[in-house]
Amino acid sequence: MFSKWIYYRLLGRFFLPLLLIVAVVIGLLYHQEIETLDKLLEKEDISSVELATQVERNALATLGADALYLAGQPNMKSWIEYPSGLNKSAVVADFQWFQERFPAYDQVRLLNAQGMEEIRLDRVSGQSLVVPQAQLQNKSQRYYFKKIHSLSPGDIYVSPFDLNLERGRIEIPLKPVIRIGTPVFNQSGKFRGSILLNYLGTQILDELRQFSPGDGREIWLLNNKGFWLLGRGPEQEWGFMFPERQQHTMTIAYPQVWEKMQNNIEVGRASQNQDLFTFHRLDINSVTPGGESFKQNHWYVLIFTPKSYIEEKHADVKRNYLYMFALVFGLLLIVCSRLAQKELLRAESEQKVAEQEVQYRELLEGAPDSIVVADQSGVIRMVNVEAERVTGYSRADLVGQNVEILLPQRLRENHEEYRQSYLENPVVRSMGASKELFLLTKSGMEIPVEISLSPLVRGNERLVTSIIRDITQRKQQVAHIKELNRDLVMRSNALKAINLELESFSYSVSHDLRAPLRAVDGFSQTIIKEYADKLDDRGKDRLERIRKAAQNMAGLIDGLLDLSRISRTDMQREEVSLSKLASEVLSQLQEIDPGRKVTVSIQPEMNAQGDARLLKVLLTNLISNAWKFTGQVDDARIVLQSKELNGEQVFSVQDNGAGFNMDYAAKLFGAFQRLHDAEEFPGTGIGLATVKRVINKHGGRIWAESEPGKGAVFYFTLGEE
Amino acid sequence: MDDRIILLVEDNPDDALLTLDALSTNNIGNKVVVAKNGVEALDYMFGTGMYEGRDISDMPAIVLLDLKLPKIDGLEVLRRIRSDPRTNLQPVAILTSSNEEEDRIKGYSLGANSYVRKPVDFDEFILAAGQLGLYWLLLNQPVPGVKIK
Repeated sequence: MFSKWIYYRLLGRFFLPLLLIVAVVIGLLYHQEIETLDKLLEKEDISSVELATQVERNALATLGADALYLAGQPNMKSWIEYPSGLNKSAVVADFQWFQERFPAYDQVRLLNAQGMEEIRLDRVSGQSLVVPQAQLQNKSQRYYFKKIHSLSPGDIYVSPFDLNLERGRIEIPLKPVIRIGTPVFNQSGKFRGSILLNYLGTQILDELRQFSPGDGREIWLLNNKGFWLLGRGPEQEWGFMFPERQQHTMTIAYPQVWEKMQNNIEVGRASQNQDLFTFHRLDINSVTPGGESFKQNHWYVLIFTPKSYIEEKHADVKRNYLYMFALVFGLLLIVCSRLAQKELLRAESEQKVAEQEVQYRELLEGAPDSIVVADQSGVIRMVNVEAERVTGYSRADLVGQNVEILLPQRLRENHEEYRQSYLENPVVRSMGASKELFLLTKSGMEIPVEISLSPLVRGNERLVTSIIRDITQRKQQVAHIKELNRDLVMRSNALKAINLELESFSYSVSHDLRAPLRAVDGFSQTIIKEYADKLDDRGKDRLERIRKAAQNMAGLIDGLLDLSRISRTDMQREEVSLSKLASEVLSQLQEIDPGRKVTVSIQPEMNAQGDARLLKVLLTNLISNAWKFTGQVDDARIVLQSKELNGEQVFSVQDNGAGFNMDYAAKLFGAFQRLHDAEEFPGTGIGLATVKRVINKHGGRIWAESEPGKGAVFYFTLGEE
Repeated sequence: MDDRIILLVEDNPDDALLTLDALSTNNIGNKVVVAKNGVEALDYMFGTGMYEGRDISDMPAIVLLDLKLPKIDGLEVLRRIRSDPRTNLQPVAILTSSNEEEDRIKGYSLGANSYVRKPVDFDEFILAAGQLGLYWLLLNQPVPGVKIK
């Protein structure tokens, strides 16, 4: 979740600014292109209207030239001077030839000075027809006659472009007409009449239509009053001719545009409701040598470009730029996403490194040993708190110094070599394992240390970490242990000597203490036997007592020997059948004392892990005791069995003999401790001490339960190997 | 049979006397030579020292050998008797106070013919001595070639 958030933030950091820049650039480009497009359209429109105007102008110029041509004909000149019938016929012939050659002229006329039609040729069904004399009319009251009359020679009159009237009515189909006239004078300069041409405007209108650019754009022709001569449809054209169409003028439809068109400029552009209008004024008098009087007569050639057309053009550009923007957006997104991913990975790895750095620091500072990190040239880069404490230097003292500062003078010389050799094979290892290493503190003290080296790569750098352990205490402890060990060896040797002595003592006891007893007993016997007649009963009794005492002491000596022998014997554990051993002991006892009747119960297959000989001694003593202490019981019983108690095998020897007082149980297993009278139950007091030794030797336990007169139970365990 | 000598190696005069008593109680009338230490015993066996010139082919019927002896101890005496071809067949019975297992093992491994522990009870001692004498002087057949006087 966290990394996703960072990813988006990173993405935003790259993407949004870039996107903004791209958007601005594309916006500017778009804007410029739109501007260029608009200019281009303007130029196109202007050149279109200029061209169209030029064509019109040329057409008008031709019309003027035609009128002057007719006025300049020799037959005409003849007629002016001599208005004879012959001359008139020649002029009519000329006119006829002319009309046939130029079918756009609907009427070709010659008016006399009084305004009467002298010659009139009408085009009827494609034929030039001379109108008979009777049908000729007086046109003196017509505005065009008056205008022409006022002209100088060579001037051309151009009528407003309108629809032909025939007998006061608009001729249907509509016949757009321009009347061209020029006055004729005789040689003395007297006005003799005028030539008048009715030109069918359809042709120039058709020519103009060729310039219509299409796509909703239109080419218009307006007269000086703002009426359409060529417009968007027949019903809007020729408004001035029809009373019901008087409102179809630019002045009403596009007043703002019209206003601008009136600003005495030849070529211009105006807009209304975002529709564009490119106009060109065509002054008729600039075309024809008409003179000042026709100044007001002018047309407008106009290209109408509707808002929809511009919008469509703009929309094309916009669409292209939107596509471009979308493409760049996508590319940008991909690139930035990649960048963000990379950045994220970098950030994550940086964070990891930072975390490791923190961990490393904590590890460094928390270490109980001094840690010194040096670079390849032996310059200290980092130390921990413990190093400060041990060396007495502050961190600032150490960082930047050579590691040799921490070495006693005598060890510095070779240290650089050691450093180099370590760098050649940088593995984790302890330094100079066989050598004694020392650290020199700030106060000049040498501390015995143990140093462990390990390579450390941080960035491009290879460092060496030295972990330095103060082993002063350990050295002291080792010395102490050595001392203790020496002591122990000494004691052990002393003990061995004592043991040896004890053995020879035992040997001596065995030999030398018994020998006098044999002498005492033997010679007492000699006296009893050989000198019986010289002794009274009392003397004999005392000698018998001497013998008994001697034998008793021999028993004691044997018991002691047995006891010491147990301690000296090496134990060998093996599987021993206690049942079998017990039966052997009992049968021996029965053999010695065949008169006894004892009920014996031995649990069969009672096995134990122990030393066979020692176990024999153990059972011999325990069973002998049981045998002995049941001596005065009628129904003597001895039971040997084993039970498992708390996972431990517990053996028991039980009898129903004299028993003992539990108050003295603590004394039970001591040597020479006796709980009964020697008279009643003779014994050495060594038996149970021996038993206890056997048990100790096996690592087991022994305890007893008893009550005087109710027998005793001896429990024992034999421990484990 | 009565001519044959019994060599008793015993440093304790009381024990020596008791042994002699025990033997006589058992009516064993053979001559008993007493050696008070190992050196005397070996001198007797090999005709050296105080027994210089003794005919050593006259081997004792039995050597009753104590183990704990002054100068040279009983086990060493036994070893030397066994290692000399002149005496290596000599019957030797160890008669000692020691009941140490080690002594018994050493005695037998050095070639003792029997091992008897001297009991303190004189009655038992007499019994033991009687049986020893009976066995070695009457029942046991001596090694061939041993001179019988």
